[in-house]
Amino acid sequence: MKIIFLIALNLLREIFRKKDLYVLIIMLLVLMSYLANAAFFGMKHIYRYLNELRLCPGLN
Amino acid sequence: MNYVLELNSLCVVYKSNNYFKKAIDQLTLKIVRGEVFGFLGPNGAGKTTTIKSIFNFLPAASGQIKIFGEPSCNYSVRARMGYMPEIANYYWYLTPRELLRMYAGFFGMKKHAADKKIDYLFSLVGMQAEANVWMKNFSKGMMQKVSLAQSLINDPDLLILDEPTSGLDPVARSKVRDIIKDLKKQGKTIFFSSHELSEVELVCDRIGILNKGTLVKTDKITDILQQKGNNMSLERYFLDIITRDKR
Repeated sequence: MKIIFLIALNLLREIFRKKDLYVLIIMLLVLMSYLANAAFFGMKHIYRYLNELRLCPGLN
Repeated sequence: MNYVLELNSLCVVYKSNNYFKKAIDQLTLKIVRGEVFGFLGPNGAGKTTTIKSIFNFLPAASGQIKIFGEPSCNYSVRARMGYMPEIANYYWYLTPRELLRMYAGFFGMKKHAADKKIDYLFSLVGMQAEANVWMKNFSKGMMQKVSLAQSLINDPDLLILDEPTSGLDPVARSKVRDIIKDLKKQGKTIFFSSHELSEVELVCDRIGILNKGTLVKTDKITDILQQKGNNMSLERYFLDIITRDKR
């Protein structure tokens, strides 16, 4: 277990230093914000999520 | 006699699709404690394959590998071994100190003892100035030095070096030679493959010549150099054997 922890620690260190992770996070944030602003089937804002979860079926 | 490294009729086979290639064929070799053994052979002879097989990185098709009298898969045996690979692919974005700390951790060394050992190893290989620099921009020679330091972190009884001097400048080469000689004085066993015959001539007690997967000759360096009225060099001896072997 200790060996796995040591390798994982150094891998994470490497990932952060490589800065590849930052690119991934930024791209993910951009994509998520774009999708969050899109209005599918005329539904906007929180309604679409609630509808998806079937918490307010009367909305559509 | 108790052998440190014992290979009995070792066979290693590479297979891809329907193609089988015997990389090592019936290799039998015995190395005693405190011996410096040079493993020679042309490119593709099977030197690295043998080394990988000793560490179980490549499974043996048949035969037996014993280290300190025990099977090579035994973890207690592996903890007493050091390995310097031919091509060192370490984490580019780590410093040599962080890398060695990781390896020290593998062997259960305490932080304080590990740091002390790491400082000693860096002074040994001449890398104190680069100890805290990312390995991203290191040259091949510098990587080799890191690799050598890594192989010595656990104070191994059996050290296996795969072309330790390739990519090193003459100063570093002589340093590696001195390190090997020091380790020999401490009673460590060293098994190394090399193309640098002059290096081998200077540090080895005995050599083995591998050609096309078969061990064609083992001899003591002193015996080789005494042949033909002191007129024989290791290079001539090596070329004689390889050109004579027409398999």
